[in-house]
Amino acid sequence: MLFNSINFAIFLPIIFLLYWFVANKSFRIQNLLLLVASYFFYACWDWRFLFLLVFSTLLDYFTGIKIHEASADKLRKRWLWLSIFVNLGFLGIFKYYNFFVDSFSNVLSIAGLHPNLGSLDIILPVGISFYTFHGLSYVIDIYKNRIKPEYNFNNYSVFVSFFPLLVAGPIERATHLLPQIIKKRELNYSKSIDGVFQIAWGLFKKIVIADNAAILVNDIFANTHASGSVLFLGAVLFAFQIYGDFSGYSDIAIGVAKLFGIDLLTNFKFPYFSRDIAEFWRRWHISLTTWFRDYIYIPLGGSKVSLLMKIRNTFIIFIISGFWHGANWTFIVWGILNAIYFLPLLLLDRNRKNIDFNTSQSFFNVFKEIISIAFTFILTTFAWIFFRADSVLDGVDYVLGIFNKSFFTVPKLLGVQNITLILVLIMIFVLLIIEWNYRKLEFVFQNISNSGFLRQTVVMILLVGLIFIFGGSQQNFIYFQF
Amino acid sequence: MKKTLLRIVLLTFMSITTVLLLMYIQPVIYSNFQSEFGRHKVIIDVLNNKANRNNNIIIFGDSRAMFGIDTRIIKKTYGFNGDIYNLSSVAQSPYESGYYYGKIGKSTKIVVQCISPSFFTKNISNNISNEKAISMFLSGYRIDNNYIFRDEYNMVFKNSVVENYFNARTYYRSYFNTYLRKLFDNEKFNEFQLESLYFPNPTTMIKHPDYPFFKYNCERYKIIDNPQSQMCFLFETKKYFDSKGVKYVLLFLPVNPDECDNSYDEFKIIAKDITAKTKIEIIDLSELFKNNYYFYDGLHCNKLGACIISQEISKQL
Repeated sequence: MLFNSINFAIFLPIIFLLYWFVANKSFRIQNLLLLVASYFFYACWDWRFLFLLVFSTLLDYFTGIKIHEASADKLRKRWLWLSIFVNLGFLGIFKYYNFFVDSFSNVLSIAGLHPNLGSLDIILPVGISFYTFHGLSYVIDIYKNRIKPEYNFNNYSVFVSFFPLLVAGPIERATHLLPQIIKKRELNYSKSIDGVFQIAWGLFKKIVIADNAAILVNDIFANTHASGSVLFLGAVLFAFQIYGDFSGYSDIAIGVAKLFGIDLLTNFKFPYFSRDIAEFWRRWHISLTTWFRDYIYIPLGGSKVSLLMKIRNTFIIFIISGFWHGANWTFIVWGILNAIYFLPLLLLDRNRKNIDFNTSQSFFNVFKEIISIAFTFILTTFAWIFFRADSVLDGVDYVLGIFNKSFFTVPKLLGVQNITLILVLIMIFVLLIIEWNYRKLEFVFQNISNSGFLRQTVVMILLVGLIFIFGGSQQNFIYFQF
Repeated sequence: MKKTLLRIVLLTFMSITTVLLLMYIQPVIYSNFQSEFGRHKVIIDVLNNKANRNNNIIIFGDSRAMFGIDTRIIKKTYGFNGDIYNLSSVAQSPYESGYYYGKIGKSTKIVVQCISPSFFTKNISNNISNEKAISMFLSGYRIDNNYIFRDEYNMVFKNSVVENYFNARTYYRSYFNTYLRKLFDNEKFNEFQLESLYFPNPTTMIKHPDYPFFKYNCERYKIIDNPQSQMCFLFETKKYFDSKGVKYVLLFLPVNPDECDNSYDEFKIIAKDITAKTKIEIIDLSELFKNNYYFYDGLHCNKLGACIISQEISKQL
């Protein structure tokens, strides 16, 4: 069930009404309803994988308790490794098995061997990377004595499978989400109204920007013989497609959760206004970045180690991040590129130079910031090419295609593509203006609940109208494949 | 809690109202603005007798007929005492024209159906796309008893009005496309007259700068050996028009010799077969032009080509 589908538009109000009017006697009943709704939501994709989700939930539920109850550190460690091994084992089989087999075959074929290792015809279960990481963070936090295990299975299951975040995050932490699940929730006015508008804004980003950009991006990436300017345009459009797609999804998920009285972690904070790559990574897919930071980077020593180890840790974290996205060398190259961008800042100790936006600056400072923003955006866009390409060689071809004389020509598309391009560019401009204006907030419509009904109505009508009129053809969310 | 719920309900109500308004206003917008499929409105208006009171000849066909036939020239050359309508539209296969056959009035004397080699390929769909069906629906087209040709028709015509209006939301973009295209497209049109009843053609004398000649159309359209369903369709059509006293003629338009050099041989074999089996008269102009001078791109004629084709049709009718 896609967030941008009619089915979800029917599903959500039904669950919302049941939640606040039928199941409102206690939070336990509300949790039971959320669990049933979440499993139904997930089963709409493929009910067979529901068993995997339930198994993963059971595994972490029991290992969490066992870790907590074990007195000997050795035993605690054993339970922890059991959870990590099984969780990553499933992820490895479903997501990476074919990648490793193919890569190994390629290596052997270079040596003149051609063994038939046999890849498997495996369907990737939707959301496996996300709920696996939920579970892992839970057991690791128990092991580190940051939290106590949740003994109520229903409550714990809602933490893992809460439907807004089940298939594409944000990747929640037990320390943040569980305390909200085990207490009574209230229908809060400002939270709910902000949530409604965050859903609408997310739909706008997904349906109007990402889905329309996808039409052009698919055509341009399929034709790497186009002029340099067209290829560059394609890369820029993909940068906005993936932003609209994923941050749109996150906005909808966070907005929906708010309607149920639950706050999810912020996942995007205007990343394309970042002034350097370090800032970009504090603003892009925040829940994943902080997950890697807390559970891999810091345990490895983080930046408080020798120069060589700093470089090693940076590459490890970015390569794993790339690999998390998918079983393809393109994602690894994308990770390596980001590590290369990030390293100079880390080594010069400038990686925390840009933290917050200062909106009361002189014109000159704003201009300087815009230059930094544009430079960072171009670096990011360049890396996105590999993220989008089907293979590393395709990515290299694409980049080489950009850097030639034709880069300086006017990008020419055929027929109605021009019109779609104009539409997308106008909508991107609207997006940037609005986001720039509200960049100090957590999200664009953070305080709209304080506005009068008239303003809220006008904004809602405009958003709904734009989505209805300019919505592109329905496309899957990109991050579902991860 | 009450305030929150009330506000959510009001916002939901406003959203639904906006969507419903944008849905139900569509037939009005559709009939007042040009869109990519706006030809359906013109065709259906003519067939609904709004401009169909004289003796007339109707020409159906795809974009090659739109670019290639100026019925005003036919009328002038032919000296026909009535109207000759060019009711072709983009990618209008004979199957799509079949949707209109049942709506043709008593005053129609001749129906000319342009036919392309692509009609005899595997890939041809024997029905129209949903997009086209919705456009026809917005134009007021409904399946009724006059639709006699085939049992199967696009399911859009069975859908509820709400469903079709909701699915028709993509047309809003189509209006923008049509208007902005004139400004931003790299095809530079001398005229843009998609609403014309006689020469519905974005006319141009110059060749399109960005379309090189491709062999691709020939490669794509592999004519099948035994196109039974197509022949059956033509046979049924001929029978139907015979019963109405309307002359049914097939027209093969010229092919750009630079583009297609072999598939027309196969096409001609089929043409002979059609004549033998169905007794349908064929105007074969496939080899009228020996070079690409008369073409705007790989497929479509330019204005000069259209002028010559139209004169030729009038001679052979």
